[in-house]
Amino acid sequence: MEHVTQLLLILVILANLFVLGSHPLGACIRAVALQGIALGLLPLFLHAEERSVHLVFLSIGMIGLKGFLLPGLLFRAIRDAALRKEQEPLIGFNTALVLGAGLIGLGFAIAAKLPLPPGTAASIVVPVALATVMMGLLVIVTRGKILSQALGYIMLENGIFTFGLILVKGLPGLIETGVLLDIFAGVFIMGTVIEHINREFGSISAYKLSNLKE
Amino acid sequence: MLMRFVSVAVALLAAPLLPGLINKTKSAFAGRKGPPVLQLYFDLAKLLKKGAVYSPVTTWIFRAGPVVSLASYLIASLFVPFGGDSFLSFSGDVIAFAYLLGLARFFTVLAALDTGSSFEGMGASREVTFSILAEPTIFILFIVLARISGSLSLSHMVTPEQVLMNPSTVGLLLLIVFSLFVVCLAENSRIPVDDPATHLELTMIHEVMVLDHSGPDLAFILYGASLKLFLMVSLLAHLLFPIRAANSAQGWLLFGILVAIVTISIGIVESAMARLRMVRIPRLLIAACMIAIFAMIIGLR
Amino acid sequence: MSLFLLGLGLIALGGILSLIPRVPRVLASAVCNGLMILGCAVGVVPAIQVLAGGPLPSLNMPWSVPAGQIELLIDPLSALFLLLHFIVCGSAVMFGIPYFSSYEKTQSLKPVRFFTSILIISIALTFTAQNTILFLGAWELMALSTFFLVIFEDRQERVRKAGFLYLIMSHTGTLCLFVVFLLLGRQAGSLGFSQMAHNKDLLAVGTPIFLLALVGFGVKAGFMPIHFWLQEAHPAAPTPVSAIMSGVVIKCGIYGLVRVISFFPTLPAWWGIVLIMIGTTSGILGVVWALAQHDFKRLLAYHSIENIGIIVLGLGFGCLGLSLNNPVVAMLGLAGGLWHTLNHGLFKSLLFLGAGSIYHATGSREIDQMGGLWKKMPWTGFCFLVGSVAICGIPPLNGFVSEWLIYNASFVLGIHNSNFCFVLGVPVLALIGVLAAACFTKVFGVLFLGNARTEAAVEAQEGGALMLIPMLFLASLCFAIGLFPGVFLPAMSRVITVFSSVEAGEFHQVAMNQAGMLAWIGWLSVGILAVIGVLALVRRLFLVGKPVSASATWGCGYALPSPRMQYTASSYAQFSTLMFRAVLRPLVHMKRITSLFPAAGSFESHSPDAVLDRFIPRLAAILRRVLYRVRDFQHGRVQFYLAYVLLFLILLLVWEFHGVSLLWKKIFLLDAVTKVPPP
Repeated sequence: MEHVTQLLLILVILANLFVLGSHPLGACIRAVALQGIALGLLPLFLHAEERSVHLVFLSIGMIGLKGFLLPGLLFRAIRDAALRKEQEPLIGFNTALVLGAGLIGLGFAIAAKLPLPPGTAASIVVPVALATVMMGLLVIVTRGKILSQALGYIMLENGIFTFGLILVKGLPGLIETGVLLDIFAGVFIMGTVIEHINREFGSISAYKLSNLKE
Repeated sequence: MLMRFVSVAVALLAAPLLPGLINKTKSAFAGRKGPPVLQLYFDLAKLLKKGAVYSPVTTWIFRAGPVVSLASYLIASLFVPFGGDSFLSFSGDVIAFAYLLGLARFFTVLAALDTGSSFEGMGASREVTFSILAEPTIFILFIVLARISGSLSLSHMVTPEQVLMNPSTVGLLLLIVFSLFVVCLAENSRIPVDDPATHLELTMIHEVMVLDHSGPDLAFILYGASLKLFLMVSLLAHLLFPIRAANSAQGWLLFGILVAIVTISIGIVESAMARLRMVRIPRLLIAACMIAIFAMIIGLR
Repeated sequence: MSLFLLGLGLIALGGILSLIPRVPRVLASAVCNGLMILGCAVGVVPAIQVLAGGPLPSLNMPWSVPAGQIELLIDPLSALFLLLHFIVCGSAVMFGIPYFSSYEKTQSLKPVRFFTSILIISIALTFTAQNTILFLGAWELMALSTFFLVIFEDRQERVRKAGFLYLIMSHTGTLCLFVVFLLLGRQAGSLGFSQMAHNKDLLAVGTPIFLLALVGFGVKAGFMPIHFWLQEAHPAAPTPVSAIMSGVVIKCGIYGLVRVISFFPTLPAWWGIVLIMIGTTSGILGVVWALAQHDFKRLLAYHSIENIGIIVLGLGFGCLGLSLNNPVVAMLGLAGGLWHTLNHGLFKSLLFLGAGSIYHATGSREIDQMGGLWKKMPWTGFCFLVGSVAICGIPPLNGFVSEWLIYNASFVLGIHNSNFCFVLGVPVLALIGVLAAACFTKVFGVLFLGNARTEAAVEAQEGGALMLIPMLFLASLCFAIGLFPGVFLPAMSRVITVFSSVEAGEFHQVAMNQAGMLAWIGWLSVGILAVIGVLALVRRLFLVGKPVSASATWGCGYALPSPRMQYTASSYAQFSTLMFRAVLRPLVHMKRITSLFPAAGSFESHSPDAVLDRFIPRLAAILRRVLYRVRDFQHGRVQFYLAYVLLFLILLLVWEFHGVSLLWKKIFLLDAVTKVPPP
């Protein structure tokens, strides 16, 4: 099972890099959806020896929510706002890619220093989780469109979720549901806000939001 | 020794099949019949029979370009395993392999600049720019392979049998294959980096550099290009199924099938993708490089 | 030793004779330069003998200078650098005969000849001195004579500025060296190098010695942040002098650093890592700036910074191998780094001489004004091509051999260790190599290929046999090392035994194993030449009896192409430098085309040096702002001046009686120094 886990985690990182380096919004949403599905499958393989109903439910819930529901919402948002492409971000795509690789390295360096529960040190779960969180933040910080920022937000949450996976046995279902609900509500609200902003101002550039100050 | 010699000889003879196979795949996707698989052989035979035309601007650098680049590809092919052991191998031959490709590029670029044409200068400029991104990527992949296989010899590095003992490196190998595949597309001027069938000088890279060559010179260039493609595809084929086999019928058969698979997948990529805009190509190569770095980070743990 | 001294004597004689007034020009040139070349040829002999395993010649004489002693020794490390020194200087002096003759009408050549001979002697003494006072004396003499050679064309303001910049930087470095050798001398109890080697007491002050030596020698060698005199002084100096500077003078920095490191019986691992970091920065940034240049001497100067980076990278891996007790890596790294020193000296002086030949023929240093020179100057072109291939580290020439060793050092470390720094060498070298290839295809292609872009380039011609012989000599050495590297490896392993931390027996074994692999590289190079020859023959055979015709270059149907439409160096490099615009930050001036019937447009871009042209002016502005405030203290009221005296007195008392001085001693490690027992 070790190598399936590793493949899934590699897929997670590749999805991150893809989002950092490409501008068609639709493709980015699909990449994040794929990342969600990979993460949904992860608990089944990470804790293969003790697959429980709990795990299966968690998995199905994750895949349904992150792989289909949230991307669906985002797709609706870009259809309604007639968006196709990311505008030129704060830093270039090439630089973002290089920074992304740097963050991966940083994630691995930090994970090597963290006091982790025994048995998880050899796995790449923790470094991947850290890297995903940081890359999500990078997307939020550097992208101009609110929609990309929402994507970054989902990536960030995916990272936190991955981190939680090593502790999944000890994590009560309530917290998971709480986290999921949180992100769901966040994206839902964002979707609505995007629609309203777009209708009001004819643009959803985050740069232009600074006009709202006063 | 004899078997090694045979394997290199067969490889050198079979190299011009690959462009034919790619074109056949593309034709199949486009619903055409397409040129025969052996087309490049016919082209080479015809070109070798022809005379040559030289611009008065050129010097013997222009004539040396095809010769030197073909010579480097020929020597580089001695280090590549074709379904068995390579003809030659010593610790550190990977570096020699990569630098031989560098020698070929150096003289191809000089031959292009020798014509004094701005189109060829443009192609040369693009070629070196993309190699700036591709070359470090290749070497990063070499580090990972050296670490997995514990060897510095190309024929052992592309058949890291250790992967089979340690399944956790499978993911690593996939990253390597993916990254090397992108580099292979760029180095051999395939879509999405360069379109070998294009007809506008402004958009070409490799084709525009060899625009002024004719006759036997052009034959050398076309054969050299197919040989380079064959070398890179061989590396990929070995990495897809990393088992070291002695030179034997089964080994060669398996290798042939794997080469066909990689070649056809290049054809599929070419059919499915459009050529990228010139300014976008660096991003593709940087992505490949970052994936290689990711592989290195995992591999260094 | 007598041969070495004879060589120096001949060179000195050449220098002194040049001062005699009213000698016919031709006679003066022939005698002075002849003696210097002869001296260099004689001086090479003992160096080769030592490298071949002969006894180490030495000289020991008392000297009236306090604590000084005339103590010379040619050990293998000195021999390696002496070999390079005499080869490069001999070639450059011979090249200088026709080169300087064009200045003869306007300027006296006496200073050039005199200071060249001083420079050659002082460098030779630097490489052989075994006493601190002698070493520093020779070092200063070298710096001063180089300064006088740099300002040869002192009527140009730019040249004077570059000369002063060099002088200031050089002395800043020497200041650090004084401290380095003072610390070394205090710890070893003697100013002789032989007492410093293998001395365990040195480790107590290892850190300040290492860091100060990095700065002191690094200024001379041109490590990246403190490199900035280099790209100004190299183009300003007359070309034969630039060849000596780039080939030998900056190598003195490497020699000094290696010599100081070789004293230490054990090396901390972080020294190696610091060296690797410096090598990486100098290597990559040097070549990136080189790529953006369009003055070919300035471009070559930046390439010297790049190659110093490669050398330091190799030395870093060697030191890391020594501190990790890994003899294979130590051997590969040190041999690679030191060998690259020799190789770089050879091909870089070759390239500078080639550049000088072009400057002599055309009177310009702008790459973009050349073109088509191959047809006018085929021999210079061939030598320049050899140098270009060698500097890119491409087989079958010598650059590949040393870079191959450094690559291997990094690979071997990377296979067995999980440290990111250890494998850094591989992608860094790959990036440097491919950028250098981009740069030299640009230089060679635009200088020698295509059509001539200006009238000067059309009328260019070879500068005569005296210019070609040194170039062909250096080119043939590049080939010799590339084709037979196995022959040179035993000499390299002898050089490495100079290090105190190296056990000779173990290294000999490792060296023999490496010799086997290097023989492969030699065969590979021979094979490349052979296959090229066979294929050229095949091509010839195919063309026999076929129509070979001439026709204009394909211009996409445009009927009136002009040479100005060719790709220039700037346009060729533009796509590549675009990727590095974040660090290069090129300045672009252009006239945009606005109307339907536009006037002549223009485009110009250049990349100023990051340190000299950007950082230092900014730093100076800040300093000036701060120091302006200091003026407030000087306001003309006597009472306040007296108050300053009082304040200072109080400060001094507190300093002495309240423990501040102890703190001071702790910070600057003066404690460690005073702990040495009196002899």
